[in-house]
Amino acid sequence: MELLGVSARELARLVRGGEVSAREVAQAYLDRIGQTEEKVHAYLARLPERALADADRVDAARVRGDELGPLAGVPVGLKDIFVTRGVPTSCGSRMLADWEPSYDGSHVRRIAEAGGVLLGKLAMDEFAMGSSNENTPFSPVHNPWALDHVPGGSSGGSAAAVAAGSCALSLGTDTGGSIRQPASLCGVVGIKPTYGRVSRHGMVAFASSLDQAGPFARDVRDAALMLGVIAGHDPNDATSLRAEVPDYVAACDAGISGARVGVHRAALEIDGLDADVRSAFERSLEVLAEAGAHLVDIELPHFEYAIATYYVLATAEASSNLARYDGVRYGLRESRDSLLSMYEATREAGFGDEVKRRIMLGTFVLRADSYEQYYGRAMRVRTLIAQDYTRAFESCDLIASPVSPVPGWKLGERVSDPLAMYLADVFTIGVNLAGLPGMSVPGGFSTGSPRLPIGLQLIGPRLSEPRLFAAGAAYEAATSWHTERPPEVSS
Amino acid sequence: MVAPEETEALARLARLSLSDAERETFPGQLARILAYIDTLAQVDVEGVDEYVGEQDALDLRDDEVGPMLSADEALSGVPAARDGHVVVPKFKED
Amino acid sequence: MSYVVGGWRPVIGLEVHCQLQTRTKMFSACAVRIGEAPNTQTDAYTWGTPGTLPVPNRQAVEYAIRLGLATGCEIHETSRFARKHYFYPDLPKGFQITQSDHPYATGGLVEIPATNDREARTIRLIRIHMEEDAGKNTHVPGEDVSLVDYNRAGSPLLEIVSEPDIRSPAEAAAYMKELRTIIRYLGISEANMEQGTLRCDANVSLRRSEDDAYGTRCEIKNLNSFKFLEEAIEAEIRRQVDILDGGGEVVQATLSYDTNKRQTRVMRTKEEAADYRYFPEPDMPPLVIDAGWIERVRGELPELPATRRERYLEAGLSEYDAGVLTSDAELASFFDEVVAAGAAAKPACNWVTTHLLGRLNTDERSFADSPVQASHIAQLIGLVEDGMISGRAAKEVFDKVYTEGIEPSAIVERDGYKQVSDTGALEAVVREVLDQSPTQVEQYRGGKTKVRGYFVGQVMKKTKGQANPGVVNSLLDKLLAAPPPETGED
Repeated sequence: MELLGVSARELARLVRGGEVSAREVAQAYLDRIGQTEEKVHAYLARLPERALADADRVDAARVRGDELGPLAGVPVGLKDIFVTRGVPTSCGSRMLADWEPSYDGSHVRRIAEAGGVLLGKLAMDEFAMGSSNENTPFSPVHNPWALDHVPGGSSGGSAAAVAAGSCALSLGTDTGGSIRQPASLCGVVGIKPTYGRVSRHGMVAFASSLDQAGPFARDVRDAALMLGVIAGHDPNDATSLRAEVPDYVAACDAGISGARVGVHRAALEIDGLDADVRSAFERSLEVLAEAGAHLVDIELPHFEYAIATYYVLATAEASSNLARYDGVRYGLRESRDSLLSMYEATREAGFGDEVKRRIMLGTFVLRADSYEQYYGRAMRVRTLIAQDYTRAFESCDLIASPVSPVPGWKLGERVSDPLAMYLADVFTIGVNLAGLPGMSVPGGFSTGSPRLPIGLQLIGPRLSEPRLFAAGAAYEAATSWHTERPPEVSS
Repeated sequence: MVAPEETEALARLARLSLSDAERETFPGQLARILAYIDTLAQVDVEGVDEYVGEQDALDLRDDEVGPMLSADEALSGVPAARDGHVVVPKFKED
Repeated sequence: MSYVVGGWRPVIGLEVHCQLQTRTKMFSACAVRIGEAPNTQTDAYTWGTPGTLPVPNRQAVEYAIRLGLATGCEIHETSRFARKHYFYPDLPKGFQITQSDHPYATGGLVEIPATNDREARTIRLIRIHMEEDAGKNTHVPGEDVSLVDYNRAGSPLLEIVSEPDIRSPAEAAAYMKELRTIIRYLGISEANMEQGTLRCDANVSLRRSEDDAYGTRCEIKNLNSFKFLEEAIEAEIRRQVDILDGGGEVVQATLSYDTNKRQTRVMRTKEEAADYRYFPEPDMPPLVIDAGWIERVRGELPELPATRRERYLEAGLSEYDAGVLTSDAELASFFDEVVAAGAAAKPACNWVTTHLLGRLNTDERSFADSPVQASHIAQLIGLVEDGMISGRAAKEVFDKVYTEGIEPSAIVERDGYKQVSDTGALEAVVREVLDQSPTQVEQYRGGKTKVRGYFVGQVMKKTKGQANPGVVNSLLDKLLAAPPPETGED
């Protein structure tokens, strides 16, 4: 049986029905990883023994007659930001390269309870700070569609592994676009849920008020399946929401007919919006309209301030969250004679450039004499940005936009200009600031060579994930972008 | 412009020591990013509250003991430990 | 009576930290136990392990509400936690979760009761807020390392910040003691300075007169006993007086107190002060304490020391006695039980504070496991008042009750402490004594009234101490005043 081309939903059905064993599925994926990894480098750590043990547990449970979960035997990869007991969890940093957590985070537990099989830990920008997966002391990830191109970031490994078919599903995290942008650049589905929909317990923190975990999948229904597993209230996370988790897979059948899709036309006039990205977006709007959606123009008056707001708040929170990496209790320690020099040497050796830059910036904006001008002001602008979306959703049900202003770029091409890199988050960041759900679905390809994927972003009000899945599935049904596979890693 | 001394002061506050290359590049990079951030000054925030977000009320926990770590588990990943303690270089008490 | 040193008047404010006696820590379900082996009272959160998140302890919040209400603070329906940043090995996350701009309680006051040499004072509170504690560093003498124990890290604390309303070192100690009494009444903390469950920092500045603006203040850190609190403030006042009288200026600084040299020492000045980079804790939405919760806690508050003190004064106790009783909730409750069992306030206070408290203190026992019950003391007082036993016998009976734990009346019965008050029976004994002591009778009548004690002693001897001394004395008055008894021989 050809297991690699089968959806996660179908795999789980086959395993539950005993038509195929979880071990066979796991082995097929482990073999696949063996083929793709030398080209893609999506995995920071492969865990074949763990995967087979997980699979055997699922098979044994089936033999016993236990009810199997929605991910029964489905091979999953996790961004290396998810805390996994006894498995090194590096967060893409030298600081935590050898850290073995003493506990399992909520995501690892929920996936295991659902019958998921852990294949390994996926590469990322250090502490989830970056848009290209190049901010890491480990080897960079290569975009399966063009191996000399970046996969996007920070969840680049998670997007690339799904695109390369080296896992059926993966998890990433999104603070300013870190799921949607790599999903767009790698031609897969990625969703950042409503803030609080998925627990943050067991996820190494970057910017606590913005971070949110979410799935990568080859199609919308698989993403819905995975979100259903990880979503829900967690008493260990005081910001997790108590709202019931609906049946996301069932929601995919609702269609888009009659939905009002908002388009923020002014945003399409920004500098640096790639022509292919723009025309792919315009075509996607036509597809949505043909599927029964009504297009309406909306305004987001504070849209242009989102990036500045984000880089104040995210760096402030990051400078705080990363203060614990001091060499005293876990992770790297550079031994020195004095405490101060141990702190400085450890943090100098443990953090890369981008992380240090953001810690510096975050430290600056929180200083007593700059707090009001920077942090305080950004927190007020954040309120205005959130209000813009609330107002926009009075006249529409969803907002459609590009994800990344450009398709993937060549490895090494942009590393020297941090500000330019930040500006590329223009379409994704507002969603995090307002705590909304946003999804990237495959929405076309660039016209030149190499042929690079381009994503379409769908944004909804708080807790409107079912609506996003319905719209995404309807768009998917009208297009074939999601069925294409990267030729360079095809078997 | 972020003066080099200010970059150094920030680094000290954040317990980072900078490499020569970073000492060279950071002031200019931070200055450009801050100049960009300064566009926020154009926004009228008069009477606007700081963002809180639509969240559920803060959940409180019952005062009951949950999973804890044994000293061995707790100290297993510690870079330097002795007699159940974490060891750090001596420092001036203040 | 104001406290002035060389023309300078001190202005003092205290920041008091109180560790709450919850089972678990402020933000994680980790046990809090004092005095355990290092790093045995931790969980992943305590270590600042990546991916762990704070979830506040309802009991700690309830205790916080209790103190806020007991000191008359306004309890805010919405408050926020905030992060305070500094690097220190005992601070696991590189920040402490505390409350900054939006504490749960503001305003309020603590009344310091009057004593013989001090008037009553009211000290206003600026605020009370909740926070988590740090761990503990130990410096190893003679070695180049320090050791860190995280058992205490994350323990729930309340910080109580007073207005600079305190005007002398003694008043600072009195404020601290009153606050401790309130905290103990509320049952929210051991509030023990030696154990560190009650800690204090003092802000001190000087000015010439009450009408002047405040001077530059300095903060003395970590004062861990009432004695050192008073001494350190005195020392800091001397230091600032010397600077000002020498024409210098006080520089805002943080100081420590050297208990050996009895001097305050500057640790860092304002220029070197840390920038804590406070910002609202993003891991927790605002804390909501609704009116229903506040009212329930208010309804459950125990009688507070000030009210109790007032009640004792009205019952006729002296300020001193009322103060002694009130300072200890257990003592006061025991006293109340004695009175409830029928004893008058004054003798009850005397028995409880002098005799019983002394014995319990010597034996390091608490009122909870006192062998002498409140009803025992009430009974003992009744026996004395009814003339059933003498005051001296009562003390012996008390000792036996303490040792044996049985009722005073049973001891009186068993050991024959019953006092003889029967005038007829005692008159025979008194006559016998006078008959046997003609010389002394002669001396007494000759004006040497001191020998009266001798007669009493002899009567007591013959009655094995059971004679009612009052009755004996009136018999002596009568018989010694009478004409000399006729003696057949003369």
